[in-house]
Amino acid sequence: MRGYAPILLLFLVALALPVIIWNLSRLLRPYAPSAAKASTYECGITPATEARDQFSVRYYLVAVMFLVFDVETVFLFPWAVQMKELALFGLIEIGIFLFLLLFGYGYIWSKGALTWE
Amino acid sequence: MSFAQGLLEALTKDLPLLYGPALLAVAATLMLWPGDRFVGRGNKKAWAFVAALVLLAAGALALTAPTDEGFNRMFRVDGLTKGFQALCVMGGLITIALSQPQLNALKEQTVEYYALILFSVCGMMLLVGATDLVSMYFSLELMALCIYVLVAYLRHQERSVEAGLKYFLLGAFSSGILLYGISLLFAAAGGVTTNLAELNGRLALVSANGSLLVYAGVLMVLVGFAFKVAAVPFHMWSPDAYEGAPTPITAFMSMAPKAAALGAFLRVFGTGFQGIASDWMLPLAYIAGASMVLGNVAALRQQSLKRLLAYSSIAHVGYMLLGVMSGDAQAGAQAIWLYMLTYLLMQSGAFAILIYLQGKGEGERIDDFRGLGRRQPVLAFAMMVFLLSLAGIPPLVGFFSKFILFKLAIEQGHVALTVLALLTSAVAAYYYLNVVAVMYFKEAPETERAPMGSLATLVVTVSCALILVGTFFGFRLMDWMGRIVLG
Amino acid sequence: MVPMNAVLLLSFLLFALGVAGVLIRRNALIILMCAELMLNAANLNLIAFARHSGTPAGQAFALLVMGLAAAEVAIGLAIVVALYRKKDTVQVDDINLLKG
Repeated sequence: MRGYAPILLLFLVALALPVIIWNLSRLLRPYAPSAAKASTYECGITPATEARDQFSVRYYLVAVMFLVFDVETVFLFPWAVQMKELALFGLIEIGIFLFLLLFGYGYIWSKGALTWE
Repeated sequence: MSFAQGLLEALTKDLPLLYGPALLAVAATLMLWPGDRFVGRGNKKAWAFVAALVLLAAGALALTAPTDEGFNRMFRVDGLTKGFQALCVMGGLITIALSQPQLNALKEQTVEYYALILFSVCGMMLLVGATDLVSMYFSLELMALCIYVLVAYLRHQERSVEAGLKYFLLGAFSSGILLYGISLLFAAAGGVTTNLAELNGRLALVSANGSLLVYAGVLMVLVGFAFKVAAVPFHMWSPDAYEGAPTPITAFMSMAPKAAALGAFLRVFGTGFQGIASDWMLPLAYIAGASMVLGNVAALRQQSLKRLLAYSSIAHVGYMLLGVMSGDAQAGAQAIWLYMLTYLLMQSGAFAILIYLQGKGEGERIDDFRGLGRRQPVLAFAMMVFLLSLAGIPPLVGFFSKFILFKLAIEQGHVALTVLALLTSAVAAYYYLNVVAVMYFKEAPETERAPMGSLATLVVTVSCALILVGTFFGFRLMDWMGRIVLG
Repeated sequence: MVPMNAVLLLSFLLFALGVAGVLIRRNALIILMCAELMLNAANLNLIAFARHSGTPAGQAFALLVMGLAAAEVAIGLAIVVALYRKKDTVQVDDINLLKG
């Protein structure tokens, strides 16, 4: 456990630093609020809308599909690590897996889920 | 091992075990794409027909599969597997038959509906044969994920989506508990195996010294399963999900996943964790007892027949858990299988009639059954047979299956629980008989008659006929069936 | 080597955090995230003990669980979006058509 002592120290320093800086600047700065200062900074232009904006629902659809196909690559990882040992058999199996993924892709494509109206 | 040898062994030894579920998965995938492109949008019946055929073929393949273990001892085909796989396929077929009226009313294309049913039945068929915690957990999830979507399938009805969300959130919660329990057991056994038989041996050694890990792990696995079969106190999702789901899916949920989850329950606890039985027997007894009491008492005050059937199914699960507790795994499996088979018949018939009345704009409330005995005597008679059999009133077949189960429980020394089961059965008789009384003794305004769909009529006729046949042949037939299928 | 009890403690804390989140929070999305946290707590156990014993079974299990978690999130988000379109809310307290 001794090897971890510096990390613990770093952790404590990291915790203390923002607290110190924040309090220090609060003590030193002048206090003069104005409307312009409180408004959102948007490259100098007057802000048009609120910062909180709704995403289109389409975005969620694409995001969900990305998520699924993205995480499927997790199954490629163990194969890639052991590729030599698994040899041809592993290659064929991973080929079958990717081939199956293709059907899912074909399905969402034919459903029109990938077109952004 | 050379490539050719490995391939040959996989193709000749392992794969035949999975022909049934594999067919379902392949067919459902092809239905979605590219099959979907080739069948006209107006043609809704075609997919129902295809899905039913695929299910039948998968059932036949599963029943003729060789009795063996394969896939690195992850999957096993034996009597238990085949028997419960047959029940799941039956549940799927009945659901497809009952879905017709509701799906015809939908504007959208419905290929996904059938594909999801096929995928979930695939998950169930894998689940009952799983002999490894890995294969068990993932087939359980395959089954559950499909059903979440099916419950929320009517996405333009608030009720359906709400039920879907509730079921999903609680389901995800329970699957987290189940997986954590599995990970604890894996850890307690030294982190080397997830195979049920091997785990059992290792855990029995660890557990002898009173290991907290084993105890916590097995309890969490128990909780996860109790969620899936909707046993008290982990039943909260079931009445809401049952009420909000499309009614054919309610029927599906009350039949097929229950059969599959009970099959897995038997596999995991009845045969798998026998070595640490002392750790889970008492909690399971409490769960079973609470399910019987709460399921039946809560069913008493339901106004909606869908909710009544939901609560009563909680109670039925309570009875079936008696079979899991049996020290004689074989006899327990037979008793549960027979109970589930008769339950499937009664439940499918009752739901067919419920869906028919719903199609006319009635049927959810028990009051809608007023005067059914006068308006449609044949239908009312069939409904009476189903309800009386569900109540377990002799000489109907529901009585025999209850009797076999209770007799086994007494023989195994669970006397107090069996007495509780008998007492709560009497409570159950009250609310089932109440519906019968409403049908025959309450007057109702005359309503128009609508013809019943041919498939629904088929379901009602076949279930009713089978129940009556079972009634006449009674024990002998059931005993014989149990031994043939599971022996 | 990290002692195994430390792993168990950490995974238990994660799991407890997930359970508490599911039970306390009322936002459907956050409940979903907490449920995923529970899965990851289990993953931690699986990976640590597989590594401890030097066998790969647990690690493969954990990878599969990750894939499953993604599928679960996808379905959960789809249902939440469907509900949001109907009701303009993701708070589970507003989901009250069906009373248990």
